[in-house]
Amino acid sequence: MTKLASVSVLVLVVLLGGVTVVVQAGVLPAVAADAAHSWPEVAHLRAPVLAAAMAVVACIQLALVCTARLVLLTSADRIFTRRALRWVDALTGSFALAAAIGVGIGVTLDAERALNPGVAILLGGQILGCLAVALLVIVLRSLLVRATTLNDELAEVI
Amino acid sequence: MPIVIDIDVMLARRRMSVGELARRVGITPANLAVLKNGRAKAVRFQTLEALCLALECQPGDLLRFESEGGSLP
Repeated sequence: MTKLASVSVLVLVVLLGGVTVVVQAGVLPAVAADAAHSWPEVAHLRAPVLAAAMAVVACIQLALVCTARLVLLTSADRIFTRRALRWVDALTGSFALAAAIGVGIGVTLDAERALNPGVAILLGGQILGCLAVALLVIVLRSLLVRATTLNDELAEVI
Repeated sequence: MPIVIDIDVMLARRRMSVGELARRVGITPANLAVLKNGRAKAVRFQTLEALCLALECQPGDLLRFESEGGSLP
């Protein structure tokens, strides 16, 4: 990975991190307040659903941290190690967890008949998106394992 | 290990130290030790070439095949 590429990725990670903080601090609470106001019959769901949404964003933040760590490990040439693989697993886990929480939100809203088409599409998109990324990372993980094996074999050649 | 590397004999003949040979071949003394002790799993032709150049010998002077049972097949 070129120096330019790693720096670009890290800058992007920081920017996206900033966006997630804004979403957590401002956007989500505002949307929750608005929803509780528009649909008072499900106002009791406001706190749990807001907490779950915050958790999803926290998962994304964890994913961003994992990405940054992996980029740093790559530029330090320490990517073909057990430790690097653990960060990849954490990356997969964060997206899988985000998808699971999304499903939880969907089930809760559906049980309370609070699932209007707009929310359903948004939630569906979030779940599918997170699942897709988790699967992608799983595929790339096996690639990393293969590359690590090859690297280890090559290191034994004198 | 069936393939044996005899560097000591040539080292003695050329009166060269292990460190000096490692320097000339371009590998670390640690790797040269691995080679000498028969713990190496693979060697580059480039390394073998450098060894032959530094020790002024043929690959056959350095490499020997010893089947598991003992000597020549």
